[in-house]
Amino acid sequence: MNARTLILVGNPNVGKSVLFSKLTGKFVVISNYPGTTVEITRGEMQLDGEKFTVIDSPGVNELAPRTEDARVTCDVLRDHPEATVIQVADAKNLRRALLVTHQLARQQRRVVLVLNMMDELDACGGKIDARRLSELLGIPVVPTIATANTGIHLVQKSVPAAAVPRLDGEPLPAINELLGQTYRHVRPRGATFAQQLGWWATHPVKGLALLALALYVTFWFVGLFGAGTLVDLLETGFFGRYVSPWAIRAVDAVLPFPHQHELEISDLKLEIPVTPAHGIELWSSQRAVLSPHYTSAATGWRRLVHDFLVGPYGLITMALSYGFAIVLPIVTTFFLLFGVLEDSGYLPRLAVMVNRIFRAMGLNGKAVLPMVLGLGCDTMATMTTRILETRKERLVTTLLLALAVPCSAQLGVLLAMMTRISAGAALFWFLLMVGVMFLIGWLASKLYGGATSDFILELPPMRRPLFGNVLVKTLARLEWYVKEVIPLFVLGTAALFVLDRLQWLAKIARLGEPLVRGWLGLPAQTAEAFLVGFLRRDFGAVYLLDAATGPNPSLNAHQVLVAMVTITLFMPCIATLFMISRELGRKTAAWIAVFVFGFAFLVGGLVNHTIHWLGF
Amino acid sequence: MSEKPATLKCPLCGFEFEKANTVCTHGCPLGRFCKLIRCPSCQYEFPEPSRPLTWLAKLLHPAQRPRVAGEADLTQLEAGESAEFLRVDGANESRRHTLSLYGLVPGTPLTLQQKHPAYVVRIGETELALEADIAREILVRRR
Repeated sequence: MNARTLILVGNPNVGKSVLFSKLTGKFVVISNYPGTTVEITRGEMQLDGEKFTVIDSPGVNELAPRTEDARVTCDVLRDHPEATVIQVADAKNLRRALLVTHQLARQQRRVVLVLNMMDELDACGGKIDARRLSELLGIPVVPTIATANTGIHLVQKSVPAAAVPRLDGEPLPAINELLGQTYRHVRPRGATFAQQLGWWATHPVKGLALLALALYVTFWFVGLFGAGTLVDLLETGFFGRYVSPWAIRAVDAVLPFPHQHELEISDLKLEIPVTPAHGIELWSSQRAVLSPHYTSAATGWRRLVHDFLVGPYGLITMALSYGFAIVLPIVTTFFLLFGVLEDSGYLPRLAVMVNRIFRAMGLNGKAVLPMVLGLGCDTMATMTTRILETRKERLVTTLLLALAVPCSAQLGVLLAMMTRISAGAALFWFLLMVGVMFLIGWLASKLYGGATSDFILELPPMRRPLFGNVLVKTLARLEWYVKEVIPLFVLGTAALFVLDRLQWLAKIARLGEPLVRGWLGLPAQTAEAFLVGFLRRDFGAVYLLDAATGPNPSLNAHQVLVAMVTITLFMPCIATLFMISRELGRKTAAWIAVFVFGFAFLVGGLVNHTIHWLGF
Repeated sequence: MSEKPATLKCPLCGFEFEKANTVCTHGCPLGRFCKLIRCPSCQYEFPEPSRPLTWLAKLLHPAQRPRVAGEADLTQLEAGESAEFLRVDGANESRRHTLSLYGLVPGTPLTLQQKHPAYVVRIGETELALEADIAREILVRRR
């Protein structure tokens, strides 16, 4: 069975995953930076009526288990000693690819060499004599452009011809000899625009300007357009006016009991946002709609089911409306933008810009990749900490992700809460979070000790993102997100519903009173928010948002700030906790959780008391 | 401040060594709390130069390492200058190894693209970002 296994091996960011999805027809996430694949993916391929198992492996520069992802690749190779290796090479970097070929030859593996990205080789003026290379190495050499589907069937056809490469002796002289016979290079005139842009991105001044631009675009697209316009449209417009009242009426018709729902005014304003407070208004309307709130003395199972579906803690009126109308538009806009950034090759250049600052936290610039990914989803980001070389760096980054990096959904809700406080308070919140991140990062790296690895990072070429790839990637991530988030929202709402039924919510509120009211200075009912915040912090934040901006706000600006600080520092969600325990062990995960929750309340309380003491 | 095993230079005999193997073994009561460093070559003991002090010293006397004529390290090149890679200086074996994997092998032509905020070197079609500590150890021949 092993003989019919193909393993894709190659340097990082050479297009293994693209080739994998073209060979097997299976979707995998593809990005323009090294380290996208951190786990092996399996798929199947039909060839001449035979079924082949194809395995995609993380990129390696050598076949030695020096980093976590290289270990994964080495294990795959060891576990399938008879499998044929399809070595994918970036045609522009043939020398580096041949270093890997040399190691494959030493392991006596049968190899097909795929020279991918031939179009980019052309663009930079290089020529490879593939036939000559094939003769010299004694293995099939196939030029491809995987993204454009060129040469894929040739790869499949040459699988039976795979052989052990003839490449022995000292690697360097042997490879230089090979290159001398097969590789020609003519420098083209001048740099392309993409190259220019890449250089600007790491320039000390222009780089900062580009960074500011990228941040502003993100803020506008996700914070203002996604969390503002789209959420208004979906939450107020679609859910508030159609879905919820319709569901309430439907449930009332099926399960009648004497009660009358209150009416609330729904204010819908559609505008193109300019700043958080201003926008160009396109259209607005006001209408009275049914609210889930009502008063009735009735009891019985009908009311119970009614409340479970459309009550104040209802499945439709709370869980689905939070999940689909508030969180979904925010993560959609974020993932779209993030896909564009990923495919452009900008993110590794960001690492160059921040390397010095990250040094202070005992990390190096590479840690910015998981951190930026964390703005999309902390759970996925925790998994990508594997690209970092030492356990210390992985631990510190994971801790900071859990503590201070809000994921897109949380960020959106927090941005919405921010409109309730002054610009100064918002700036204070931002600086506090950054400050906490650096302080805790610095302390954690001091406590843990040990060396930080060298900052040596390859910068992939800047490319124009392919619309199709960005779209497919966004949809795949959304699917993953919906599958993970909506059940948690439903679970959280159900838990609240049960607690409310059993009259425990009031008890918990009383129990948490010293902490919530005494220490944080918030109304006792917000204990519920922190309770669900254990499940997902954006759920808690949405809850607080309701309390802050709802029809009759129960929080003043000062309390909103304290609530924001506390909920931001919470553990992102229960899934992240599971992921941490998978990556770093159960004990470490437990410590991180205890620390994160304790620290969140500590800082929240400190902010509360400091503000009071200063008399703001 | 022992972030990484820094290479130290004995002020008496000029021997260069890593801080890791300088633990005092004479059974003095201070034990591992002793802050002095002993040169493994001539046994001369001296306090580790503190960070602000080294910084000040560097500011006053920019490093002038004696080099063979025509040789330079990356930090001495101007941005945009091309050179031929010679070798990686210093005792860090894994660093040398990592660099060779990115195509930095003797004789390779390279171009220094920028120096701030981090060094970016172009080797063939590979662009590699490095920090100053590493750039200082990369020796090249000017062209």
